[in-house]
Amino acid sequence: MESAENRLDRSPGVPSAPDVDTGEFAHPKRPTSWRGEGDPCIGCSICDSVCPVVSVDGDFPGPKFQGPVQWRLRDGEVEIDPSIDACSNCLRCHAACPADVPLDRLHTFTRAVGASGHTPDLDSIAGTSGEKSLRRRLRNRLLASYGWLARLGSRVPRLTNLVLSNRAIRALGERVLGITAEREPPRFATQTFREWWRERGGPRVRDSEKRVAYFHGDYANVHTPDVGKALVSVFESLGYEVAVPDQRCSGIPMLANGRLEQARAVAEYNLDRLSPLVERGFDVVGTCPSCTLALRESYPRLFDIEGADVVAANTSDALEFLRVRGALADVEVDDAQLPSRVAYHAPCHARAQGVDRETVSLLGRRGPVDVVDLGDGCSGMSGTYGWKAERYEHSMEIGRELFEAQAAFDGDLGLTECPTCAMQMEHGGDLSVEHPIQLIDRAIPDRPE
Amino acid sequence: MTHGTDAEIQRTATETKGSDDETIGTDLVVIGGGLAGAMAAAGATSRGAEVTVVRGGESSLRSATGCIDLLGFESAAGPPVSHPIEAISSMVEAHPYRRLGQGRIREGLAFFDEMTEDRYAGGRTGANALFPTQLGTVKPTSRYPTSFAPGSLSRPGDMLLCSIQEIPGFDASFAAQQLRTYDVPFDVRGVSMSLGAAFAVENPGLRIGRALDRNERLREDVPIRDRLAREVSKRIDDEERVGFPPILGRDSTDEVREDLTDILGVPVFEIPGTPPSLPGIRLSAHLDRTLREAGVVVREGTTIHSFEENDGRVTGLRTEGGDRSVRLEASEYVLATGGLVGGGINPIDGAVEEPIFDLPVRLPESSEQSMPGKLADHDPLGPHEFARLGLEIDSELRPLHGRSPRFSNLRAAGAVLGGFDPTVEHSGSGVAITTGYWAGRLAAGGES
Repeated sequence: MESAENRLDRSPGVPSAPDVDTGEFAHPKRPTSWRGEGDPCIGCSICDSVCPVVSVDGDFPGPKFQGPVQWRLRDGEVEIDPSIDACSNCLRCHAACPADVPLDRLHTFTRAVGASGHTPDLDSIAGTSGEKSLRRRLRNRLLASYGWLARLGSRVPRLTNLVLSNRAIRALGERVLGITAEREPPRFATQTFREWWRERGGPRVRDSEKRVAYFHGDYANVHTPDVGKALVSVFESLGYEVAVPDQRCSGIPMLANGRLEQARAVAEYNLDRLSPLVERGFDVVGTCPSCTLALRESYPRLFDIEGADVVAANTSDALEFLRVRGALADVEVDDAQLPSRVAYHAPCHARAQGVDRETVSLLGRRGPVDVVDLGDGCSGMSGTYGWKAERYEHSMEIGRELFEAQAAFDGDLGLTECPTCAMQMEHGGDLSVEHPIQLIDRAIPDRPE
Repeated sequence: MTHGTDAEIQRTATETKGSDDETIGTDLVVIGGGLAGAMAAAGATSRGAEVTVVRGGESSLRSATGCIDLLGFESAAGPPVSHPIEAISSMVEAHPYRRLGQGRIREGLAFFDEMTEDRYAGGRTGANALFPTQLGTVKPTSRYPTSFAPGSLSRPGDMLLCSIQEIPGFDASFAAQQLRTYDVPFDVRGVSMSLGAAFAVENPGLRIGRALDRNERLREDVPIRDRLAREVSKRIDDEERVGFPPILGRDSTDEVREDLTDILGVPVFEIPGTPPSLPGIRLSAHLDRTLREAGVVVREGTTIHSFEENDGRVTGLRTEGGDRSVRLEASEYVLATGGLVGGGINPIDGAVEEPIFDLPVRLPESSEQSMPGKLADHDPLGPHEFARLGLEIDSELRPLHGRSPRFSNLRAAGAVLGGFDPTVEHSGSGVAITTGYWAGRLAAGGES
C-alpha cells in the first residue's frame, strides 16, 4: 500500500507506478512507471490475435487487457483482475507486438501482484470462494516449486513413479490440489543426469578454447537424462569440453505462477555459478527452450542482477549453437541411423527467442531426413498451464491443431525441444517424441576413444 | 548492376566459425516481414534463392481487411478508379508504380494470384471490384478474399446485412442505410442478432471465429453454425445474399460458408472489417505457411542494429534481438521495413530519416524550410504530404542517393517507398505486393 507521501510526490499529469511495493518482489528491475510501460501500445490487438488462449477461452480478456489496458486503469488500489490466472505465459503476444510493448514484463508483474496475496488478497477475489482460491494458491505454489519437489521425488524414483501413477492418488490430486488426473505424470529416471555425470567422472574432453557449460534444468535432470547424455555425447564428439555447473530450476514455472521472489532467488543462484564460467570463455548451452529463455531474456529483463547481461549474451540453444558455429559442417553423418521422416513442433518459448527454426534448418540441410513441420500452433501445454484441472480442456483445445497435424503425419517419431510440449504431443497422439539432440547424437560418430 | 541466372548467384559461406563473428550466410536477407517483405521472400525463392527474413513483430496484415488494393482513388475527392493499371500512366514519375511499369505490375499480380490460388478472386478482369464496408461506404479493390465475393456491389440481388451483438463496431442497419445513399442496384437491409453468449474477450471475433471453425456449442447451445443460421432465418425476407462481419472462421472459412449457405439457401459473405481482422489473419498465416514451405528462415523478434559496406555494396548486417547479436551475410538485401507507422522511416528534429542505412528521404520542396507544418493539409481528410514521404528508387527498386543507387545490392519495397499516398489512393497493399515481388525477383537474378 502506498503512503500519503508517495501520493504527494506525483507530478500532475505524469502517471506514476501503480504503487506496487517492490520490496515484496525482492527488487525487480522497476521502470519509472508501470503505466508508462504500456504507452507504446497503439491498440492494434495483434497480441490478442496470436494468443492461443483467447480463441478457446471466452472468459479470458486477452493479452492487451492483461498488459497495457489493466495497467493504465490501475491506480494502486484497483485489484488485479483474476483472469490473469488464465494466461499460459507462452509469450507469443510479446514476440508479436509491433510496437515493442514489454508484454513479458507487464504480464509477469500482473501475475506477481495478483498472486502475492497482499495487493490484493487473492481470497477476496469475487467469484472464487476462499477455499477454492486457497487451493489454487497452494496448487500454483506447488507447480511453481516443481524443481524442488522433483529433486525430492528423484531420490526415490521407483517409489515416486509408483505413487504418482496410481489412479486413486491422481484423482485425489485433482480433488485436493486441482492438478488434472487426466495426465500421466512424467516418470522419474532411476538415475538422474547429474548422478550419471558424477559416475562417469565428469568431462572426458578438455579444451581451452572450445568449451560449453550445459544448463540442463530440472526436467532433463530428473525425467529425461537421455537428453542430457545426448548433449554431452554430441558436444564431446565434436571436440568440446563440457562443464555441468551446479544449478537450480531456471525460474520459468515460478514466473508463470507469479512467484517473482522465488524466481529472483534461483536467478541469483544460477548466475552466481554461470558468470564465472562465462568469464573463463565457456558458452552456456541449454536443451530446454524455457530454460534458455530465462537465461537470455527473463533474467536481464526482469531483474537487476550482476552478470545477467553477460550470461544472456553468451547463452544459446544447443542446436542454434551447433548451426551458428557450423560445428556439424564437416561431420560425416550416418544416414542409416536417421529415420526417413520426423515431425517437428516448434515450442512457443523457442519462438520467443527466435530459435524456432533451428531444428528444421539444421536437419533440413543435412539432407536425408524429411522434417515435417507440425504447424505454427501452440501445443497448449505451456509448462504448468496444462496441469491445472480448470485449464485442462482449454489446453487440449489449443493443442487440437497440433494433434490433427500429428495424426496426418505418416511416421512414428516426433521432435521438439520443450519437455512439456513433448508431454502434450504424446498425450494427444501416438508419436513417440524426442529432443532433436538425441537424433543428432545417433547420426554422428562417437568420439574416438 | 545485372544479375545472371540462378546458377550464377554467389553462394556465400553458409556458416563461419568464431564467437565474435557468428555469421549466418544466405543469398538474400529481407528486412521486414510484412506483406512487402513476404512477397520479396516468395519472389526470390521462386527463382531458387535461399532467403532469410528478419522481422520485429507480427505483420500488420493481421489488422488489415485482407483486400489487395492496387489503386482505389486518384484523388481524395474523386470517384473510384475503375481500371487501376490503365490509370498508372497518368501518375507522377516518382510513384513506385511508374518505376515498375504496367507490365511488371501485371506480373506481380499474377504471382500473387498463383500464390493465393482459390483463396483470392479479382484477377480475371483488370477492373476494380466494389464492396461494402462496415460503415456502409463503397470500397474499390483489386484482389479480394473469395469469402467477400457474393457481397460485390456491382451484382444484383437484394442484400441482408447482419450484425452480431457480441461483436462491437458493426451496426448493420446503419451500414445498410448508408449503402442505400449510393443508389446500389438492389435493396439492402440491416438486422441485429445475438449468439446468446457473453465474452470477456476484448476481441470476441477471434473467439467466435474459432467456435465457427470447430462448430462448437457455446454455453451448451446448439452448434454455433446452426445457432447463427437460425437467428438469420428468423429475420430474412426474400433477400438473395447475407453479409456478416469478417468472423466466419479463421481456418475453415469455406466450410463455414458452405454450411451457412446450405442452411439458409442463399450465398453468405463477409464484409471487410476492423482489426483484428480474420481475413487479414488468414492472408498473413497463408504467407507464413508459403514461406515456411519454401524453406525461408524467418528470424522473429529481430531488428537490424548496424550494417557493413564495401565498394558500394552492403556486405553484412548485425541483428539485435533480445540481448543478442548475429551477423547476417548475403549477396543481396531487400529493405521492407514499412513507413512512418511501421518505423521504416522516422521523423527526427526537423528531418525524416531511414534508420538502418541512413538513406536520404527527400522532403517535398515546399516543406523543406518549415518542417513539419507543410507536411500536413488543413483538411484532415485531404492529401497530406507526410503520407508521400519515403525512399526514392530507380527502376531496379534500388534506393537512390542523388541520381544513382546508394548500394548496388540493396532494394526497397512497400511502405518505406515514397512518392505515393496509400491513404488517399488506397494503394498500400498493391504497392507492397508488386514492389515486394519485384525486389525479391530482381535480387534473385530475375531479368527485369
